[in-house]
Amino acid sequence: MPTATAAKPKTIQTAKAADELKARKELEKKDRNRLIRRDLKQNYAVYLMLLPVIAYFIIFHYLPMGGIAMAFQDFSFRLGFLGSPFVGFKHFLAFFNSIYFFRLLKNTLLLSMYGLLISFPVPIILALLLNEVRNQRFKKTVQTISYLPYFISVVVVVGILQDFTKSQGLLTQLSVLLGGDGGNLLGKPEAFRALFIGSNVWQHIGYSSIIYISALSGIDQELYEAAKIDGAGRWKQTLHVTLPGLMPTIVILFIMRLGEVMTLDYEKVLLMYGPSTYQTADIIQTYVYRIGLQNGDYSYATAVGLFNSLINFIVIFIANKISQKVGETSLW
Amino acid sequence: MKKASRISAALIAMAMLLSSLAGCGSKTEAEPAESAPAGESSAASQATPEGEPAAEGITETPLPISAEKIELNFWWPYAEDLAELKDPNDGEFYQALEEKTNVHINWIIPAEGSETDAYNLLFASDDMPDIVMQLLSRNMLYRGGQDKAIDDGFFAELNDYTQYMPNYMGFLDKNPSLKKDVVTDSGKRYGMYQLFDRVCITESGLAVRQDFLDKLGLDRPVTYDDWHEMLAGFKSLGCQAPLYLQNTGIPQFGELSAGFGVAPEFFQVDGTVKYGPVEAGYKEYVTLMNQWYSEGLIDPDFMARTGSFTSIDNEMMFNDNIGACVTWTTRCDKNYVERGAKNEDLRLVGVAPPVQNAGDTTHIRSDDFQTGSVYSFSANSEHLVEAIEWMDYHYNYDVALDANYGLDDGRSFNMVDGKRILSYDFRYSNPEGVSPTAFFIKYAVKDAPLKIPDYQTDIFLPLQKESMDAWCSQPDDWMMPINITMTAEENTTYSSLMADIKTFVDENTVSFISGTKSLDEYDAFVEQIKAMGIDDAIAIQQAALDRYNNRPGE
Repeated sequence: MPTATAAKPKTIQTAKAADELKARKELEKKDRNRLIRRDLKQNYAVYLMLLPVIAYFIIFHYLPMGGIAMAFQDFSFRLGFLGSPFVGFKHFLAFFNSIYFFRLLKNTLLLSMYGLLISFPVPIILALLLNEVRNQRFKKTVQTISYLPYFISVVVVVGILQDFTKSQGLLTQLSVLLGGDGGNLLGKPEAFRALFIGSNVWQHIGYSSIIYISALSGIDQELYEAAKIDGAGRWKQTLHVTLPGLMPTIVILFIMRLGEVMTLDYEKVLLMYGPSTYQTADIIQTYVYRIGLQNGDYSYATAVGLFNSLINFIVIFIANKISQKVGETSLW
Repeated sequence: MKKASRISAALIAMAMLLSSLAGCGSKTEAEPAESAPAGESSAASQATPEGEPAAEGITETPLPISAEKIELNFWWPYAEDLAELKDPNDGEFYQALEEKTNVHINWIIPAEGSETDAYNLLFASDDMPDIVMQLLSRNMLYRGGQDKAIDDGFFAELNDYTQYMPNYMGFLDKNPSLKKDVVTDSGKRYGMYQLFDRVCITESGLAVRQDFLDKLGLDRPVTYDDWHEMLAGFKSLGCQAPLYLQNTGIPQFGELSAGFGVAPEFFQVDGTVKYGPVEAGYKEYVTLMNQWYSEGLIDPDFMARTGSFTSIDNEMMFNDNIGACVTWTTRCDKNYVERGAKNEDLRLVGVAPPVQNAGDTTHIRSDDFQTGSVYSFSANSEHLVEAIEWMDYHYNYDVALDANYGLDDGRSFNMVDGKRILSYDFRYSNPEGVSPTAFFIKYAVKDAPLKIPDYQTDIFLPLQKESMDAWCSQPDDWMMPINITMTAEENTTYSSLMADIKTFVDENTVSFISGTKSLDEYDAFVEQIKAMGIDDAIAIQQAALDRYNNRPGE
């Protein structure tokens, strides 16, 4: 019994506390609402500017998600969304049973993983190197020259590549020096990934390094001085001051890149590949293009595209989880 | 970098939204636009089989077609030929036609290079143009087939409107062999077909360098052995690509494989459909090409050459680096040389496909089309009858002459023996500065609905004429008729089968030729194609061919 009597005032107390909490919350809510209203009033112009962005995402990114329904139907333009017969996972099964399923998956993953492995760190290295350059004029020149290729259209880049990889081309002749047989490089399945990623690096290195260079300039100079006093040389400074300072930027960009793992620059692949390089160059998106737009099999193409997005989502989800566990930075 | 897949998803989704809206509306409008003529027309269509002239109502197009000026939308996939012109209304023919018919045409011209994609998207919008020109050779066909395009309410079935096309029906009556080609498997008229007033119009094929042959003292090659000798000779002259091939490794119309009795894809022998790559001749072809490639007789960069089947690197040709290739007649004349050849002696001349033994006959080549594009009419057109009459007027022989050779003011052609002969000087050094490609759009009609190419060939230069004669010297009786159609269901099965099979065949053919895959694996290659279901695809083609052969034509 004593427990019961002791418990009673406690419940009253907790009830009281809860009431108080509720009241405070309501007050806070009112406060917040008032704040929001005031904010809206004061900064309405800013919110107005936000509107087009929201509209863009709704119209071009959220509404089209309805199209996913097509993947589970035998879609017909005449019958439309509601009328087309529902076929469940038929198109997915057809894709999984295709003899090209594993090759497409492998090619897509490998091409993007290699791309990630090589083209992700390269701009960071360039930024670090440029950071060490003391001659401002030289630094600016290198920066300008390295980001110029970014403005060349991908069609032109592939055109240049085609010329350089002909049997008489520059790259082919260089490959002969390294023991190649002198055949057309673009026609060799084993050379495709190197050419694709190499030209990507060439084209994007300067542009991608800009964000790191700006992050570098944000690092507190006093940290460097402190490191110098502690006897750290250039290398140690880079290791213990520059890199940790750059880390948040790198992690966020890395996670964002991971989210695009399955969305390769497929226009470029389309321009570069051919029957002789399908073996390594045919990726899920080019397959979708051939099936969907050229064969007009929209349902099948949507199913394959949805599968692509699903993998994308899984990869970014895992990456984010890992990043939450390991460091403090994460996307959400 | 914006994700292109999202953009395309957005496009498709928007297209679908539109179409679902369209679906709601079209049910009520599904009946033929005009209900009155239905009675008359059934009488007309009954009359036709009895041998009476088709047109019992109107024998001539009443002009003007409409008392009030009307506007029609015309979907016209020829952006590549417009050059400096905006649309065909800039041309004299259509200006004159508008005056005569009182019909104004709004040309809807899809972007160059994406015509077929744009065509597929027409069915997703609820705004089908009144007239849609479909290039069957570029795969412009509703996915479910022609019958389905009518059943789904996109295009009008013209069986009930034959009395409005006296000129078209009249031409068909004179050429009964064409009747099978202009209806669907169930006998429906899906549209008005472009018709040719001529038999052999093959304008593409293999061509070799006559000047190289002269230098080497060789005759034009006939057998594969002749070709081998010739290509080796070309190579000794320093030619980089003695034989220029596309990245598929096998010319589209069997120009090089016909001698082994196979086409790169489907063909038919006496009504039996076959698929080239699983036939014995394909292995012989691939083996020979592999040998030529290893001897350096084939373009070392062929696997990276992209483009249509007649695309070549003109720079290479002008620099004497190509010895033989597949080409149009347009390259077989002096004019081509004037476009920038270093070597003024450059002469390309057409030759028949190589054969194994001299005197052999080949059966595969670029077809003798007697029908070309199709002009279909929107089932929901407000002016369906006027659109049909307007289109039919093109098939009036006098109008067709204007459409083919320019208006009757004698500028674009010369009269020779009562025939209009296109003025070569006027076309190529035009006083008004119109470029040769835009010439037909400016003064006549690009790809006229009734083609009268007969006169045209008379003015071909000797080498062009020789080339066409060589290309037409062998029959084309093994080609699949271009007007066969599949049902929607067949099409779904067929395209999902062939998407993978074609990928597989393309990449392996190239691998065998370039030697990255050993020919010992050839049998496994054939087995794999069979395992992928080629027999089902052949059965579908066979069924479509049988239906075509049984069409209620003549």
